[in-house]
Amino acid sequence: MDVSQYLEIFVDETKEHLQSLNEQILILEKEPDSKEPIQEIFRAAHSLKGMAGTMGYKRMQRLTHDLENVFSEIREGKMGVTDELVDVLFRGLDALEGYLDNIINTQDEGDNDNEDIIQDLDRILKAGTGAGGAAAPAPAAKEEAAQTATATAAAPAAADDKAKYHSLVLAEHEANAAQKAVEEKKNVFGLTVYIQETCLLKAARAFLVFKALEPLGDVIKAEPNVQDIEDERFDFDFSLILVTEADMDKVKEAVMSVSEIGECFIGAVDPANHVEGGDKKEESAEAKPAEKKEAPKAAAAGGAAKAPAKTTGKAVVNRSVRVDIEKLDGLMNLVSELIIAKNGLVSMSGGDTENKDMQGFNEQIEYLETVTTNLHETVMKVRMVPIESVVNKFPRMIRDLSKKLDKKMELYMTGEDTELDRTVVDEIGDPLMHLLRNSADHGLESNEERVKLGKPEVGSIFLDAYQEGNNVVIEVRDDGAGINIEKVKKKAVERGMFTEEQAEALSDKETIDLLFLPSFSTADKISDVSGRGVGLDVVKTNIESLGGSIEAKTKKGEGSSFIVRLPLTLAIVQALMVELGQEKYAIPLGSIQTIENISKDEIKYVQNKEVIHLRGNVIPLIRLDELLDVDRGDAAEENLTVVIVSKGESLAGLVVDNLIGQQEIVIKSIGKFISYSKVISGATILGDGGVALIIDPNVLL
Amino acid sequence: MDKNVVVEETKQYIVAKLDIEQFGIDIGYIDNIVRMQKITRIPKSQRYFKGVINLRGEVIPVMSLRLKFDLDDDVITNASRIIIIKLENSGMVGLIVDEVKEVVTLSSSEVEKPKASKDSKNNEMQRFLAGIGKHGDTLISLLNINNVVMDKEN
Repeated sequence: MDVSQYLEIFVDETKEHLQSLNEQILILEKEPDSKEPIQEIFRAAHSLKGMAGTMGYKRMQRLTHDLENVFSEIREGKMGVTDELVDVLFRGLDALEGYLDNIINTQDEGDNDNEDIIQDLDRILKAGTGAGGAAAPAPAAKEEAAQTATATAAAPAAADDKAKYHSLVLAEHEANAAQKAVEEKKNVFGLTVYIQETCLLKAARAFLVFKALEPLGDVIKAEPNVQDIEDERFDFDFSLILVTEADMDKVKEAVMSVSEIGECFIGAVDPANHVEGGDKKEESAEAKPAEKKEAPKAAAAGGAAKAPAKTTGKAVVNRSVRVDIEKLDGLMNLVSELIIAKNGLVSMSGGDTENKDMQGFNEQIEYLETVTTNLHETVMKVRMVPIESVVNKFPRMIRDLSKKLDKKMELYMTGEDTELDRTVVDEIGDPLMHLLRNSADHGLESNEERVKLGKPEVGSIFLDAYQEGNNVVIEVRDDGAGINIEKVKKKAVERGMFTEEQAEALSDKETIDLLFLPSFSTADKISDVSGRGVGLDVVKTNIESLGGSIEAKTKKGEGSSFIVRLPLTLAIVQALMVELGQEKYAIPLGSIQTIENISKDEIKYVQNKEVIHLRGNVIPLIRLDELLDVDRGDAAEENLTVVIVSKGESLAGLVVDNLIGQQEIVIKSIGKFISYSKVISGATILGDGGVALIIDPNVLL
Repeated sequence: MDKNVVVEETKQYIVAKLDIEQFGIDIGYIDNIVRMQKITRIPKSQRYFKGVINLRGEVIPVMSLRLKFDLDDDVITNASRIIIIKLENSGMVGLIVDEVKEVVTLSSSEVEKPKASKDSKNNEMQRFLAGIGKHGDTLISLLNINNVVMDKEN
């Protein structure tokens, strides 16, 4: 079977399963007695094994299988969760990730057997389960069978458990039908059918089974019900009760004739044993037509799956965004509306050109405007993904770092559901990883030192993400020693960047900013983790290339924090249009707090700079016209229009001449050739075809 | 000249007038030639950049060749044009000229490589030239567009 067409799904799902394994094993390490994580782990490992098997990745399948054996022992409570065990498990996961990377690149899993990991797993398995090591796999297999109904490893002892039809309960009318059948000397059989785990279209197979049984008799009861089977809401098995004139062998043969069926258990059933006391209405009657209707469709689907997909020659795995179907529905609706609006305009241009049409024309334009605005918002939403996919791997990384650096530390994350544009999310992983490593390596003190300082022995690293206006802020914080300002200054002098006097005069902030310069590492030792001189400067460049900014704050002895600001959307924003002299400028709405009318007398002076005092805040005034060299004559006005903008805590008042209004603007780049004031972040094209510049208030603050 | 086409490599140039001089720009670089239009000033840009214009929905910086070549500032007339240059990978830029005259085809034998000059100001100018083209009895200064557009000077 050619499976290359499923490669994309396989890669996506494998990533998900690996991520969930990573997370759950971390939880398991912390709460060895908790039942839930191991269940989750087991499920993920099991699916992974099945998927790898289907795709023909034997090495991957084998490794997962061995991992699964260990998980199964843990679930049974036969094995404790030890440090060593978790280490080996993580090594196993890394190896699986390695396979996956190979698959993404070459469509082949590679030829690394990871024999050492498999042996370690075996050894742990034997040691963990004690002398009865040989006996252990049997019950494990049974448990596994009962849980997920694996068709391949069925131990005979498990057969009884597997014939699940024994536990079917019939509703009254179903029982009546069965009873009637008995009276008519028909056979009533219970069947439990197991589909091979490697099957890709379970629902289709299940329907082929129903279809095969159709000529033989009537299915009066199915568990799960037909609707669920149709929606693939079942594991790998389903049970049913069949009324037929055929004998048992013939029924079984019919079932087994469907491909990809693992096993089929069949036995005679006495309806009387299955009657339910209550009056629960089952949908046997309704199930029948549904089944008939759906069967050909399912068969067609099955056929499609089998059809060789020869066209998919090379395996290039595309980057994809998983989109919530609701968002797509929204888009679809908007596009339909757009068409309606267009048709409205078309009919108007074709119709009689009386004056009365002018009003209709405006109405259509307004309608069109609403639709395009909504369309834009929805498309933006489609592009937005939670940063979860990036930050999820960090707890595992911190755990590894903690071992490597021999420091106890804990990562606390909030705001993982904060959404950012997909392109930004893809790029933000590395910089954040750098910052976390930095905190772990440079930020946190050693355990002994922490105890000496009276701090909790275990260091804390925080990663907080939240939205702030049109920006998303991601803050990486630690409760370590903080940045040693003196050390940075000394380093700067050593590097010949400053003389000692110059260094002395630097403010704390200026000193911290030195850290973002290329090749400036303060680590005394060059370690494996950080301190290779490629550090914060790379982080800064990365973040700035995404249109973001980074700043650092530190408090001696209490820790340091790195604050990353990223733009929420890349292309279109709501902005306030303002006038300076004859020129028009746009200020993004996201950073605007309020707009104030200030009379000239209210301007105060602090250190020879203009400020205003507004509701308890002292706000510096920025004369945009001076900053941007706008020629506006000398119109010394009595009243000033001041746009108050904010970035984090800090505020500033931008003095403008006139307010034009709010507008949705498309951000355009000004181009490489021309240099311009840092205050300008781009340009936009106005309705009249003119160009207005966009002011980035963040630079002013 | 047609005889030469067979044996020699020829190039087409747009000839533009600037002050009293004729300049030639390799037609391969030219995206478009537009009439003068409203230019939005960009604060703190290089002196010779007049600002940006909107060309079919894209924002394009516009440079005054006169200021770039240390001539008097442009006097915009009905003949003034903006030549839109498109460079691979680096986007577009507009050049303001007094007048666009014609398209000429020059073979390599009609192009003289510029000679290095001792005068430093002339040297500066040399960087912008790819050669001197002889077309009939007129001389055309052929521009090295890359050097004109990308400049260290800020």
